[in-house]
Amino acid sequence: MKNKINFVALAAGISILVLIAISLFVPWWQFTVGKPAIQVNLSPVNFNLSVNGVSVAVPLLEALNIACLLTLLAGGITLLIYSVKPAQPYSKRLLGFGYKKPLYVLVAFIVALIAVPIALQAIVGLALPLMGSASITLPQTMSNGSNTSINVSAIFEWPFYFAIIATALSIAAKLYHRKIVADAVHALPPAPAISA
Amino acid sequence: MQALKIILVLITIGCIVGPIGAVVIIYRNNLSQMVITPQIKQLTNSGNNNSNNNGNNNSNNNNNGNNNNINPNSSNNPNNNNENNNGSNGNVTGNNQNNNNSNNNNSNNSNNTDSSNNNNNPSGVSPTFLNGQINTAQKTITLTFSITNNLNQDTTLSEMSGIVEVTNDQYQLGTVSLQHAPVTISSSQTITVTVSGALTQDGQSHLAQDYKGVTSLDVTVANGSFTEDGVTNQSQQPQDLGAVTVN
Repeated sequence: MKNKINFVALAAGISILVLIAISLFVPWWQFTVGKPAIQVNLSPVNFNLSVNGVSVAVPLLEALNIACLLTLLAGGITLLIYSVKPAQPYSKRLLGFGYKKPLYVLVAFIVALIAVPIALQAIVGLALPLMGSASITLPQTMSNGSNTSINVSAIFEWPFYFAIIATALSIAAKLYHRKIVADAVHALPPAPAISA
Repeated sequence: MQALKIILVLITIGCIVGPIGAVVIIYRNNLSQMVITPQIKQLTNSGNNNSNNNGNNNSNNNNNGNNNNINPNSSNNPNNNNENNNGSNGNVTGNNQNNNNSNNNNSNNSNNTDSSNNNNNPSGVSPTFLNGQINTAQKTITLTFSITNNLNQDTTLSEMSGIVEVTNDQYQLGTVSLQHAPVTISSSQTITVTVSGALTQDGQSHLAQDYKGVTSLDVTVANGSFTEDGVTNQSQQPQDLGAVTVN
């Protein structure tokens, strides 16, 4: 029991760290306006907005990126530590801390991704696709009276699906921990009888 | 165990509050700049200039057509942008007056960064009418435009079209469209493009009857459409180009 390794947690921890590294360079979601007049590359750890070839920085989003990066990093490292010491008294707490982090980040990313187009639709009447291509017509208030239609496209890149896998592994590590604990209980020698 | 719990809670809080708190502290004097940075303001202004440029080509074209005073670098001129910012339409003198006013407004309301942006990256891509010709013998309409790419990247013009009308009576002469599309325009480059089409039989008859012997005719483009890098801009209002040669 003492030397047992939670391999699922180990895989989850490694995949989270790999996910962080990948996400710095490859976006989870890419949105393109025109060909491309505007390009948004988005992942929880990196945001890149390019307008007509000019890169635009948004400090608040950069801060959120760093927050997500640190959160994922903490979760990944914690899962790695837990995975090699799953039977220690503190291990369950490490697991409880670590496995939730990628889940939180993934859910937050999806919620933000859904919320922003809904908000844009409600505020300025622009219906942006989450996935696929569309031709959207700008409201006349935004196009000075002329009819302006723009080809837009959105796509989820493979790191997004890898993030789902990493999150699933983290949850599986939590489930696998129960099996490890159950096995450990069965492996314990029977308690000696207490004689009066 | 209790210490570990506290440490993990602190890590959780620190991961989120740390970066966000740092940005809030950095921008504490102007919190809106956390989202709407000066750079975004510049781009927004530039976008407005672009839209207004497109919308106001009419006045530029008119001036060029009537005065043969072609200024292909008009969109590079920051004053011109200010003019367009002001949303002015109409004659040259009126625009110049508005231009001065809007310059003053910009001086008062904008910082230096905004002004420099107008110089460096003023207004995207916009066509300026150079000249035109209606050939009644060959039944062709040919319009020539100058297009400057003020963007920081190459752009592709895939479509440019419209219906040519006589300005006086709005009689439709024919539809013109971009020849040799698509056209790629390098950054900061100015090119000349030709849009042409057939003069309709009705249009030819109309010119023969109502404008016989006329060598110069004011024309307007209705339903003008301009597609650049997948962005299509269609004018609601007819664009008065000014005079074209009739032969």
